[in-house]
Amino acid sequence: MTTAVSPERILRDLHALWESLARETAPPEGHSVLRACAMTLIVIAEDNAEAAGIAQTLGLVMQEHPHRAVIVRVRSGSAPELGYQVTAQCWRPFGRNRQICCEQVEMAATEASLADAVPALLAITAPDLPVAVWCRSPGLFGVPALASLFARADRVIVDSRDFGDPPAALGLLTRSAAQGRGSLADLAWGSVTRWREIVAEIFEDPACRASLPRLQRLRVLHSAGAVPTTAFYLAGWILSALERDGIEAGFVGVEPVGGGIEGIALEAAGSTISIRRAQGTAVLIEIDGLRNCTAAPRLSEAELLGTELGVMGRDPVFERTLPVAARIAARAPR
Amino acid sequence: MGQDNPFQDSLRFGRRVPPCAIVIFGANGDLTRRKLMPALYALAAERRLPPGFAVIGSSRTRIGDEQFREKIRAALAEFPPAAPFDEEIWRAFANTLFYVAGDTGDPDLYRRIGEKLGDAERRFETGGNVLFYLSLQPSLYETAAAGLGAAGLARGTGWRRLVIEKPFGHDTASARQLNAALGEVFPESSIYRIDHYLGKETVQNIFAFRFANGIFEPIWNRRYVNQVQITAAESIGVEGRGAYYQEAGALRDMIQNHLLQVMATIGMEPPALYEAGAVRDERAKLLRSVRIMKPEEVAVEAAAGQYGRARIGGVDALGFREEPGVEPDSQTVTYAAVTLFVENWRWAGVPFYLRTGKRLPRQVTDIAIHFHAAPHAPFADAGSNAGANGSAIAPDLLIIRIQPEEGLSLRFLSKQPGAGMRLRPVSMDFDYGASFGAREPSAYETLLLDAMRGDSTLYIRQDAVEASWAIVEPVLQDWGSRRLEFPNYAAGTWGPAAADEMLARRGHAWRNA
Repeated sequence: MTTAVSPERILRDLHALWESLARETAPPEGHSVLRACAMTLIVIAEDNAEAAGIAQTLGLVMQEHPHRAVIVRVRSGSAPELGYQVTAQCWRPFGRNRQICCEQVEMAATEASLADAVPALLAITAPDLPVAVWCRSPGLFGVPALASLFARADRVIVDSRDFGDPPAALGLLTRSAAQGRGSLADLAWGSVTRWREIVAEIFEDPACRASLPRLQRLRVLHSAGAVPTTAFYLAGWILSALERDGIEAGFVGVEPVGGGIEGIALEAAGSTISIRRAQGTAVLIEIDGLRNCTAAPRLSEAELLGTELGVMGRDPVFERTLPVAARIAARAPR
Repeated sequence: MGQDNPFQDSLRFGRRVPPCAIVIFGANGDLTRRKLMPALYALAAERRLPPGFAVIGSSRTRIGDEQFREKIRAALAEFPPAAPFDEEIWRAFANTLFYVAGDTGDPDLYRRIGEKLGDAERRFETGGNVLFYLSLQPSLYETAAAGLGAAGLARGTGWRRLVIEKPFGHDTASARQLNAALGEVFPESSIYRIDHYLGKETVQNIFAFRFANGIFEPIWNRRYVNQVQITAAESIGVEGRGAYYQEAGALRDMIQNHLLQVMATIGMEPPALYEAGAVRDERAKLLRSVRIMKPEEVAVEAAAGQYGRARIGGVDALGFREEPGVEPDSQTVTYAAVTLFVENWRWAGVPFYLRTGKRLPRQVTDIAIHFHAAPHAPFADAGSNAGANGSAIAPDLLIIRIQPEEGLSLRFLSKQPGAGMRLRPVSMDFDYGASFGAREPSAYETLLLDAMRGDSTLYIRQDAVEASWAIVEPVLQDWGSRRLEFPNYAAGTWGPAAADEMLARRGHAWRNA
């Protein structure tokens, strides 16, 4: 780890890294290396965040979204320390001779030096390509020194499931979105996509759609304990999609089968739809007594992050849902 | 229907497929086992099939539903689908598989298929939508379509569509006859002619490359493009398909359909919309603009070849005439190359060289756009290392690789490091797999989903089929009217000398030559 962070020096080191990789693997002895980069992904994490987990997630995500990764590890302290090192992450796709490599810059900073780090971070983003920021540690999302970085990013990704207080987290995200900080994304929102898709598939049936104006009550079932942000998202999404008042939203803690969301129940006059997680990835759907089965696999952090990196523009359904979910969360009994 | 569902999220959810049943004729055949079932299983594993879904297989073999499921399971083990095999997914998928045994010429077969469809509609709520897939010998297409029509299965409460595989006839007259026979039962809008090349991700990417970027279209014309080479080379021989291949040959098997469709995609005008009617109009227009060769031009604008025995890497490779099922004096063409010209303002005078062959040095399908050389070269002696043969400055070249290692390469000249101005070609590469690590759907996954959704953009329309036959027919007639001196290239080489001479007349050379 060096002791100073100069963007020119980091870029020089990256250049030298590629030259040495090309020398090491030059034909005919080896096979040339393909440098792949479709975006810059800046990861902001507290120093105590699990390093191996982040590295593993990035390693998996790189294969679908090759990127220049810049990992900023922030530790508490007032010393204005900054440091960095550059490495390459390489893999060889099955059946191919050529290695594909992505570059990775790891920076160490203290909270006090974050303000100095941001201009350096912006200077080393891959030119002309999108910039995504993944704020891995919830405690850093509200740090003022990072505001300018978030504002310049095309996508700012958090995981509200890691925030301690779901209503407060949704309130914070709603305010951030209103301030126009990049295009906000939440891995918790991505984790309910399959549940949303199941609901949408059910209402592809015109007979089910006909019952929507009579919908009176919705219940989101979750693992016993505090209501998670994912449950508020599901309720907020259904209510915002229907655009009408008079639907009672409630949350029920149940014995966990899969953890997180355990089911959804929609009650209309004369009609009931129940979606419940069963064993493994199976989900049971019951519509007025008729049963069906589908699957809702739980997605890993890498899969959720990969999905968000594939959505670089705005997500209108999320934008519409977030404030409704925050309102429901604020009113929900603690 | 989609606009009425307030829960749809086009950004996040997969493209919707309506409930339907698929009836596969030839369900015991090679295509079903190798391609269709692995594709359907992969779609099931990725939850891209609709909740209301069933498959009814049919062939002459007398087996029941359970035996059919066992056969399909064995096929998935032999030809693994893109998605990993999962017992739970298989069980759910297998429950949607049914079988009806019978002969395509027997009217009772269609009555029993109708009954099975009725069962499937009640049990799986398939909405009366049916996709009939003829994975049969082409000679049975008309019989099967007529049987469906006579049994009243071509009409119903939902949509009815017919999918057929190439070859669509064996010349213009037979293609017209087939189209007329199918048209008596199904309207043209319900007939889906598959060319799996169009389902390949990289062929679809040509649309994105050409029409989503502003920088290429201005140079995509005769003013900047010197020639276009489209190559589909196979390193393998006929691999047990000698009897079939003997009837088809390289021109019918590859150029009349796959390569002309690729050429149409490269050369077509920009459609106003990326939708079936607009795209297929432009592709057909391009094919109709191809100049039809006069009989006396065939000898210089086309080259035929057949591979002979050779020793490759210490292993003896059979000549075509020594392959099982092939006549010892076969006149079948295993290599074909043609020079085509498009008579429109964009492409006038630009040769499109198309070639395909078996037992060539390696498997590759690509399109090479050769640009004109710079009008003036101020670098005296700079090009001594630049040309392919070390003697001339190499012009810029854009290569669209379809397989293997799909991607794009742009070759241009750069100064060599050091004193003086010496030029060397360098390559700027875009690797599709490296930039999008996600699994690419197989061509059959894409095309089956499109057919279920009613999107015929990547399917071939009747007029395009007839235009393609019109292009190759003079060549077929010439080659069929005389005795060709075969074999004329050794297995493991890049084809006959006549193919090189065909380009040399215009001062051109095949890219690998």
